Amino acid sequence: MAKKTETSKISVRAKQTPREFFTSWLLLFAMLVICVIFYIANPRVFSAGSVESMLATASMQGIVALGLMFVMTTGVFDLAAGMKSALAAAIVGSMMAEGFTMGGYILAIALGIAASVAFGVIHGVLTINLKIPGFIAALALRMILQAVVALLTKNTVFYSNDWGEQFKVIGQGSLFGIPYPFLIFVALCVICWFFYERTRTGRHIYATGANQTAAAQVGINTVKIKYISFIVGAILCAIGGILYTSRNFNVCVQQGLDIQMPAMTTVLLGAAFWEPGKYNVPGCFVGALFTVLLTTGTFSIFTGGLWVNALLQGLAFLIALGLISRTMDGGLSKVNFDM
Amino acid sequence: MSAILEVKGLTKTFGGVNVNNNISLELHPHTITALVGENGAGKSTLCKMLTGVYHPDAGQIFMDGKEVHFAGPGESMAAGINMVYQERNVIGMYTGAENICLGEEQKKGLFVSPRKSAEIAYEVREKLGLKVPLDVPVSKLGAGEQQLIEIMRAFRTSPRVMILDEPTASLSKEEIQPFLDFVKRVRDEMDIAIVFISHHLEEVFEISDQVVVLTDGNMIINRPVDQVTEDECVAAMLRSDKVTPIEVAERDVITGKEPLLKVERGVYDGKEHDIQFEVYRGEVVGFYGIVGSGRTECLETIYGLRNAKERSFVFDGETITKCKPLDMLKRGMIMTAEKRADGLFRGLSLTDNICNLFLDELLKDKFMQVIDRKKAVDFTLEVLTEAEVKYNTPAQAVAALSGGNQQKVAIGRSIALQNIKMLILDEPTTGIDVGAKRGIYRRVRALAEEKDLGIVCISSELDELLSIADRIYVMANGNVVDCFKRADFNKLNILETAVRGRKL
Repeated sequence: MAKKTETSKISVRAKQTPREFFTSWLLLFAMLVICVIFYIANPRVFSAGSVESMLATASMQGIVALGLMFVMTTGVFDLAAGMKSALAAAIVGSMMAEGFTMGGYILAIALGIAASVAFGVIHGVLTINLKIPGFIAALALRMILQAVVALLTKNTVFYSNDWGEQFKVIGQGSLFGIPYPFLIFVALCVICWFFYERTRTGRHIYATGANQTAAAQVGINTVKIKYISFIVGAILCAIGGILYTSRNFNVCVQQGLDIQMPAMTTVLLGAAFWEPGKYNVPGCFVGALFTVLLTTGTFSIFTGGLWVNALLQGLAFLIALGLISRTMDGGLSKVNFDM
Repeated sequence: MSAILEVKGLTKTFGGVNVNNNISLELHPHTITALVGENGAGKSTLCKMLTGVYHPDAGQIFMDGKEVHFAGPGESMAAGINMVYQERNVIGMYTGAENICLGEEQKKGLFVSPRKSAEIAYEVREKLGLKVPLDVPVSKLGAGEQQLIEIMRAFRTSPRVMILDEPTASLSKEEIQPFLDFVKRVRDEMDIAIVFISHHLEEVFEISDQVVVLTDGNMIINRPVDQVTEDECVAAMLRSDKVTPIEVAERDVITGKEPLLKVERGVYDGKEHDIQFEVYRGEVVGFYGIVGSGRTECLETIYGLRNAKERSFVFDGETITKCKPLDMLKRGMIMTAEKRADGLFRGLSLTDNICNLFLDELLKDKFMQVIDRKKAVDFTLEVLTEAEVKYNTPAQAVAALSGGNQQKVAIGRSIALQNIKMLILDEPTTGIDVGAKRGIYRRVRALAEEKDLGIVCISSELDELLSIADRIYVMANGNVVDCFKRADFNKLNILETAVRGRKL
């Protein structure tokens, strides 16, 4: 039969058309343009302190977004992600006491992550085994989580003088002016990207989310894959939440509520970047920076920037989603809102 | 040459019905075995037993002379039996290469290597002599190319038996011949047995070596292709009589009358369809064709449910080129959905299901749009009694009724329209037991004969149409190909017209 193709001639992925190239990089172009505009309007947006703060905020939001992305890739719109992150933070916060050794901190953080994972598994049982639509299960879970967090934080903005320097440093410390949270975010992005693109489990998560029947047909254990997504997602949410608490040096119910929407925006904006129509890690990275930049910039330029910020975020969102539906053949088919 | 796969006395029963009855056949290498039969003849069930989706109630499966039991599709695949289903099952965002290696991603050290996967995929493509691009997301490819991707996926492991379920159904006309040539080439060059499921006899006779005809779960023909004719196949496909015909007197409601509906042209789903037909008052017109022949699409276009680029028909003396379902409702035409679930509000009560078509007439107060509860319940009871529905209370959910009674609700509600002139029923008796079917048939006849309605009945059961229709139109490939009057009803001719796709 036919002779073997020379391996060097194999094209793994076709070159993008100019139009596809434009679409997939648009979010970054837009971000650079916005940077220039903000810099002209108010150079202080890019002062060292402001940049540090923006990077740190984007990182915490981005890490929760990474966690949310795992769950959303399998097709569940997770409204409880923010509360899962607050739960981990509240557990860490309530456990820490004076004279904690390094081992104590690690134990507290491990328990915080474990609690978030436990709720991730419950979310999995509700949607995968009991077949409750993921979106509805998330709504209910979010309420229950809110109750647990309120209980742990004694209904206040909870903080303690017992929280030591070692804890403070992970959220507030920096290396050569780059905040630790950003370094952690970059590291997690690299790990997540490898996980999605270069491991079988990651490839199967995308496959299961895109077409469960097809995935099952080639022998992928879709139930296992979905549980893995819920668990990994919960771990990432927990890390984001703990960083948030370390940085702000408090934990409260509001923390979980505050981080939910930006995280969701980040994931969805990210689906317009890099590989439009698919939730992806580079998109999450740029999406997080984009939303934080937009917020910080508008607030520093406009006094009473609340409405401007909301309007700009909304428009950015619309344009991004509009682009996906226009460039993808099936519109937003891969961005599922339910299982 | 010894057989790769052999089945002996395979039997499968669902709910007391023998879907496969004592089937024995052999599949040989370098051989294409065509599996032919009407809808519901048991082709899929047979294949699903071979792929381990179903387990046979009786009978044995042998591979290379050794008996095998498949617990699931995974095991049959490992044994070398692969099936490409009629529906496309690909991951749209993945490239062709990634789809081909799905589930078996190639690794380099710890990590998946897209390049290594691609190498395997290109090798498979080379082996099969295909040219489908493998480096673009498959969502950018057409259905035909996606199917080839799935076939390549099946060839990644060297299969011994390949089952192709209606592979030409998703192909355009130009794609079919190259595809058939491809299948023939695979047969000639590879040590593999191919099962080719198709409705289209011409394709079957072009490519197959062995022809197997199933009818009602029984194997009627199993012969080499040169020892069987198309006519014999058609004759074998005819179902044994399941339907007891109801008495229909021969009547002439056509001569000298104006048609109620006269369809002239329709351009929809991207092409012009030849859909000229008429419906007169007081007659039942059947629409027959194999699955995918475009019957539902044609009538949905008339009803305004389907977007059409162009359409033109005369209904009740009025020439219509643009329409929406609501316009047609007001003009007196109504269509019931093919799936009952699409036509009824399953969780809602009988009252809601029946009255939602008539809310304007059931208002207590036009301005505030308040519905008169009592009037609504009275109206519901009237419709239910008229339609002879068996129910407990009008407040019960429609989903709690049996299939036959649900259908009666749908029809009863439709004909309660004040100015009803024409009723289109799409597969009105699917999933209904025999007794309930007779009830529906009588009702349909009564509506035509007593109420003088024009009724269109789309059905895949030829016996059903032979029983109730005054005339039968046969559709194929989206076009109306022939029309039979009751006096010329001939099961063989009608079925042959449908499977050949042209006038005899």
